[in-house]
Amino acid sequence: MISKEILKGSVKTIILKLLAENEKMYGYELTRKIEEISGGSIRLTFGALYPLLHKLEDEGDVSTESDIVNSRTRIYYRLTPKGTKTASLKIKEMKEFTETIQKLLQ
Amino acid sequence: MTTPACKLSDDRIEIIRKEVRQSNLSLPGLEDELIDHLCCLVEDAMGAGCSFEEAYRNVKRNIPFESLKDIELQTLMLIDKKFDSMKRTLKISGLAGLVLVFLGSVLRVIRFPGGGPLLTLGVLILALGYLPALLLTLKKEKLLRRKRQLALTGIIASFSLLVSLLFAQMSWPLTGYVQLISWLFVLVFLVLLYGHIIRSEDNRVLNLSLLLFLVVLFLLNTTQYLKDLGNPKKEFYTYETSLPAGIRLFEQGSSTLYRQVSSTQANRYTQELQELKSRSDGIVALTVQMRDRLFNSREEQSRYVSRLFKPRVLTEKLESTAMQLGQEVERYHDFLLGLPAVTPALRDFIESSLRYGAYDFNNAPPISYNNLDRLIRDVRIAEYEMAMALIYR
Repeated sequence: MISKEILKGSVKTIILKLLAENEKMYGYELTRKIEEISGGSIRLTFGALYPLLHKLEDEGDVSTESDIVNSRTRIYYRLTPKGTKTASLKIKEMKEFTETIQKLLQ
Repeated sequence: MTTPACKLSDDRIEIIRKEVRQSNLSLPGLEDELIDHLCCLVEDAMGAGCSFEEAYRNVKRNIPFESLKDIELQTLMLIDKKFDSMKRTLKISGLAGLVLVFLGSVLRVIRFPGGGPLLTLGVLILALGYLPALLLTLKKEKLLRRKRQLALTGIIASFSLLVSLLFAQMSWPLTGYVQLISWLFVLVFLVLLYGHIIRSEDNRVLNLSLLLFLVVLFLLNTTQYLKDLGNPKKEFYTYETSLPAGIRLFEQGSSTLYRQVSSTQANRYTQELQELKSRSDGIVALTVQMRDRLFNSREEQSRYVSRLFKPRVLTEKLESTAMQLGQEVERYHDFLLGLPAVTPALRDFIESSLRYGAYDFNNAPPISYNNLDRLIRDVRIAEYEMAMALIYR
């Protein structure tokens, strides 16, 4: 498991990346996808995921739409044009950061 | 798309929905997506072979439903800058107000300069910063919706208690009425709180114990207050208008008696009467000297009571000589009781009044001022009565 401290600054980029690759996603789906890709190393809690999703919506990076699935409301998130730009910028930043960290740790 | 294999029935979704709704989430969409997320987790576990009950229990163990409100608060803090700053204001004003009230009260108790302004500032910060911020925060968190009456009464009661504390500490006029009003608000709050605890099933024993504690505190304070209300000696700051007239009356009475004795020259207690006059005049002179060092006049004393920030210099003047006067009073008391012809009524008066403990010379300046005048009056009464007893018995 990756510690919260290390994960803290990366969650936003991870979510933006996943939304950039998928047309729309909902909360549970996002957590499962992250868990799946990270091989169980990253497990997002409610407290980490939903405040961030709402903040992204508030900043205009994502938009939401709701749908009734299995007798309950499901909220889907999708990137806005602004969010797409933010996503590519954040992904670029993160790549540079990980490369630098790798160099430092070698 | 990642979708759990097992689907929950409507009634089971309803069970989860009902429990989530108890958190009273108000942020648009959050409640729906948390319900959906929890349902997905339960479906996931059921897909792995668990029963609904087992799956639901495991989900609740991993995600305590009490924490759902915290998620909303975290979200609010992230997206609402005003809410964030309100929370900060709440913390800072609460802490600053409490520290200032505590420091101000301590300084006032030890009669150090700056106590009054600090206390006033602290109460103002709590009343105008902390309480409004608390009200807005509760409103934002929608906590007011369910417990509106309770929260509002609690805030009003706290506000009025703070104001009454300020009045009491600053010795402002009408303190008694302000205290009475604040205790009425507290009483209403306690009644509402009792009703709330009885209706709520959570932590009932703990809540009732806390309520009991509050009620005991309330009773202790109000009993003291009501006792003080009926006790004329507690009328510290209102000067007894009859005092100067009383002093004059007994002074004149004693003078007349002394004149009669000196004109007839035939009293066997002439020596005692002379000593009585000299000792009485001595103690009155000392008391007047101390009294006038506090305030030049009664008008000045009244002005001091109504002043917001009181100067320190006054108390220092008194403290240095309070002990000396106390000793003089004790000596005078013993002298009077040693005189012949002391009637039982006079003995009672001397025993109860002319004792060091009967007056407080080391209190707040306006109280000491009044007590010094009461001492003068009592000395003059005792002198007159004793002279009467010596001359006519």
